[in-house]
Amino acid sequence: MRDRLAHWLVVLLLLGQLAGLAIQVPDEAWRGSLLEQATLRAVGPVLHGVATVTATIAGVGSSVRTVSSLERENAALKVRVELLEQRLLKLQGVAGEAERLARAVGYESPAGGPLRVADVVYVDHVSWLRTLVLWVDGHAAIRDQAVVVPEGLVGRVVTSAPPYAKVQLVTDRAAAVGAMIERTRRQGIVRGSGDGGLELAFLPKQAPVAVGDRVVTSGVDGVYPRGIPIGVVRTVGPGDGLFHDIEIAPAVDFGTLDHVYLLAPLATPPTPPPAEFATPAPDGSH
Amino acid sequence: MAFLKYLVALIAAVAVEAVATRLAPGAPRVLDLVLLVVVFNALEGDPLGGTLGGFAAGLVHDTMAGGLFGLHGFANTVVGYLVSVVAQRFMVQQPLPAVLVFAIAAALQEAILTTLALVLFAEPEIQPLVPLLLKVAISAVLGLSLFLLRRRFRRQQERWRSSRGSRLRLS
Repeated sequence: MRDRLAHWLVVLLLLGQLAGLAIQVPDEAWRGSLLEQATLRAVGPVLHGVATVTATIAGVGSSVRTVSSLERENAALKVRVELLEQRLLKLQGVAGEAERLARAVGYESPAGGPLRVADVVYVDHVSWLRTLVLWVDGHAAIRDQAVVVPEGLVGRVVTSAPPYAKVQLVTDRAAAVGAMIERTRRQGIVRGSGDGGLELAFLPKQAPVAVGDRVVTSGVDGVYPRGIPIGVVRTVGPGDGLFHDIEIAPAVDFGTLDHVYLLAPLATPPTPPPAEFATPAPDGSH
Repeated sequence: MAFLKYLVALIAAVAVEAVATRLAPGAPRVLDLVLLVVVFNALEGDPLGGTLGGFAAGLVHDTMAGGLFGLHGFANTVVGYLVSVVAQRFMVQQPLPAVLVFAIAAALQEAILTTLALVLFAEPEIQPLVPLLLKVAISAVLGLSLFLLRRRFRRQQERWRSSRGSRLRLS
């Protein structure tokens, strides 16, 4: 009787899971189901506990330091603060100028809300799992919220189960980010290459691109605001069809993440790109 | 009691995997402790427990993984069920059959995941062969080590129980 029950149960479970997988493929809205949220809530405390314990152990090690090493660090930090203050002053000037120009042409940029910090409790950026689990204190993370660090783009929230959230890394093969070459403003789509790197797709061969070009978000996908660094062009290949074959080195070192920032969701829909920057469709048509 | 034991083993597997990921970022590519817990549970020879155990552990694994939710759930349900059916019909409580079961379970899980990826994704990401073989080997070796440890522990427990029983009879 028990064995028979098991046979039926396995059939039911497999069919149910197949159906669940099948509906997630065409429609991402099915991701982050109640079941996924429940398991995230159950697994989250274990991951958070491990993160806290390892951070405490690492903290004990780093707190035992000599006065001379602290003095050296203090001096280096003072230099860094001075440099950052100079940069801030410059940026304030640029921001003021941009604001004046925007007012003159009646342009309203998407409102950038406050950043919220979140602790990384689990990160797997090497294996094919490629995921990040966050512990978000206070308000819950929102689905599709952009996740960044000062170096650049990390990914977006795909499942939120307060106080935990699961993030799809930008290096995930299923991730796609509207991006552009900063120098030329040429747009394409950045995707995970499968080996932990990134590739820039749909950049036509006639578009100039060089090794070392910075790639930033274009803001056309409605998830990531414009101008967040994604990475730097590492190689440019001829490609098979109409487009370059471009590899990008990610701006973020995913192995060193211990906390990240959640950007407020975009309040206004992104402005459509000017016609001359529009990316051609894969068949070459505009 | 069996459920509690399973839960503790699953939590321990998740915690150790989380620590391993911090120490060696490539560890999850070749180390799957959650699968070992599934196989250990299924070796008891109860298809119902094996199926449910595999399903629960698979979903836990999916929570820690990117991609579609349910890929590992599906794979581990199949592994849990088949291992428990095999354990019910054959003698696998010896080291040699056990090591084979661990290796085949790891290979089967990867085969199911790859098949699902091929079926579901337009551009599936196929894993390189070397890490897969390494995962199978590590699962077999680690599984065997834990199997021997558990057998030793159970024998000691039985010895302790029988000696306790004889002491009680004497008194």
